[in-house]
Amino acid sequence: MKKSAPLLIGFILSAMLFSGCSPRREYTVMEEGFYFMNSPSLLTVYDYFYINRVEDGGRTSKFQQMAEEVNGLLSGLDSALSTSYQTSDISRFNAAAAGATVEIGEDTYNVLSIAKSVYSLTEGYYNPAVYYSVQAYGFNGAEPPESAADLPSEEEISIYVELSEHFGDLKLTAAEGKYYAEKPAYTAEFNGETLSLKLDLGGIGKGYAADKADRLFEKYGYEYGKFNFASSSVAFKRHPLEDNAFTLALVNPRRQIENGTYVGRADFFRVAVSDVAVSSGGDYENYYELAGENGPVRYCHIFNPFTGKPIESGIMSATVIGGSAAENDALTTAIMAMGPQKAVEFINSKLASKQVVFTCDTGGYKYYTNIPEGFYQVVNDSFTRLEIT
Amino acid sequence: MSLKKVQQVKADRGFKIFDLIVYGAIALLVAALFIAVFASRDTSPVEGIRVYAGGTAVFEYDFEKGSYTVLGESVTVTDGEVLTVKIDTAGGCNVLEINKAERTAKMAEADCRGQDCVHTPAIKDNSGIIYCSPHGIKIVPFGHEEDDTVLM
Repeated sequence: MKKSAPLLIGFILSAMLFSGCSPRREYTVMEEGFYFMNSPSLLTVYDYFYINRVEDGGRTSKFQQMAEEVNGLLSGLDSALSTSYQTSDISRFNAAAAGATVEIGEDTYNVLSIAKSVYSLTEGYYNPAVYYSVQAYGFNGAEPPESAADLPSEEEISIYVELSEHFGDLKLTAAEGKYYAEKPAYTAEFNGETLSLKLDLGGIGKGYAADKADRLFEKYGYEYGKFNFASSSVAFKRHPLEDNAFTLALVNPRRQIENGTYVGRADFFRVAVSDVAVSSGGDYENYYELAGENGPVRYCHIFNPFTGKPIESGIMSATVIGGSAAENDALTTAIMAMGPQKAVEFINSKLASKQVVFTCDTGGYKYYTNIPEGFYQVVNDSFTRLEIT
Repeated sequence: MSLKKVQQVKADRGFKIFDLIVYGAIALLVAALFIAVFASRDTSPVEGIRVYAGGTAVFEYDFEKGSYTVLGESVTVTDGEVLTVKIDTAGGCNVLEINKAERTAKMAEADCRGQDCVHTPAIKDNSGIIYCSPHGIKIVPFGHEEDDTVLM
């Protein structure tokens, strides 16, 4: 044993030399994908651990536990908010008679509360009661029209607009741990059918889901990562490298496609983000084109509640950063419906606490942002700053 | 050393039982470290790769969709069975080859002296990264921890 002693001491000294005297900090990336609300989502966690400490045995199982909880919350929200399920809160609300009171779950109550708040803030530019118009134009599971002649008539759309104007009359109550939504009493007649107000929460559900996933990072003690819901709403935590920020690259809404493949830059705008919720929407995501008098006309899934038609405001995309993703999700829809002039006034007067970027086509591609210069980068020369006096 | 001591050492066995235990423990430790390093690699098939130049994403290829996106004007693509991606930087030029069928990405050429990136093994799973330090170029698999860009 005496001969082994120098060997043993040498080994220990070598181990200390190569590993450093203090524990070395490393991180690993863990990801889990989901598919709910007809969209993919991705949970990413960067988990720090000390590489030479035997303390990280439960790392993977902790992440799996979080992923299972995210899966459960997404499944629950899909079942509550989707119009695809007849038993969902929203389907039952839509099927109820005018003036009826429907018991709903806590999440549906929360989402509707946020929807009413943003409806009020935007003076009706965000309105989830555009269900009939969305269906009539062939979105959210309906068949899109084959030609402009198949589009709904002005008379039909005006009836839908009148119905949606009563969203403000929807009443929410909570009592003894139960939640209720009272449907407005207003009805309208079309094609011999009595119509009552119906909801489509597609413009807010993903954001709400991102907010809920965001809270789980804290619950599980994770500081680094993100939850990306279909690139529509993302809850950003921190990035483990450099300045702890992710690079948020905003899509060029008019990317060119050749032979089925995008060409040119995918993005036009870049900003660093961390510990923040972001929602983004655009007319490039879900749309069809029909022949018009002056060429093809784009019909997208974002609706102007005042016209009952797909937006024609000139705004192509909108992104809202900061605060709640659910609120931001609804705000992007409202901003796109407003048009450039009204949107700038609204952003300056009501959204000072948030960072907003929108693009528009007003005789050339323009962008507007309230992010101070020097904190963002425009990476596509086709976009120039929108000047509004 | 006295003669008596020398004779005692000569009489001893080469390896005592405690010596063997120490040597065995060291061998086991080395084997465990070797296994830990290789077992912890993310060897899932690569879904796509993103090319960064100077910290900015300039190109990406999605193996799942079989499509590519040029994100920077410094990139020239020649399509074919093997996609050739030429990346021009202020420091020099690199040529990346993406084999669609084999789902690999390999730096084929670089006009720098070191050629480290050219000699780096092809990316074929999520554990690999190719660096070209002289030109500030980095090839990263989708979902890798060093991939920090989110497109919305």
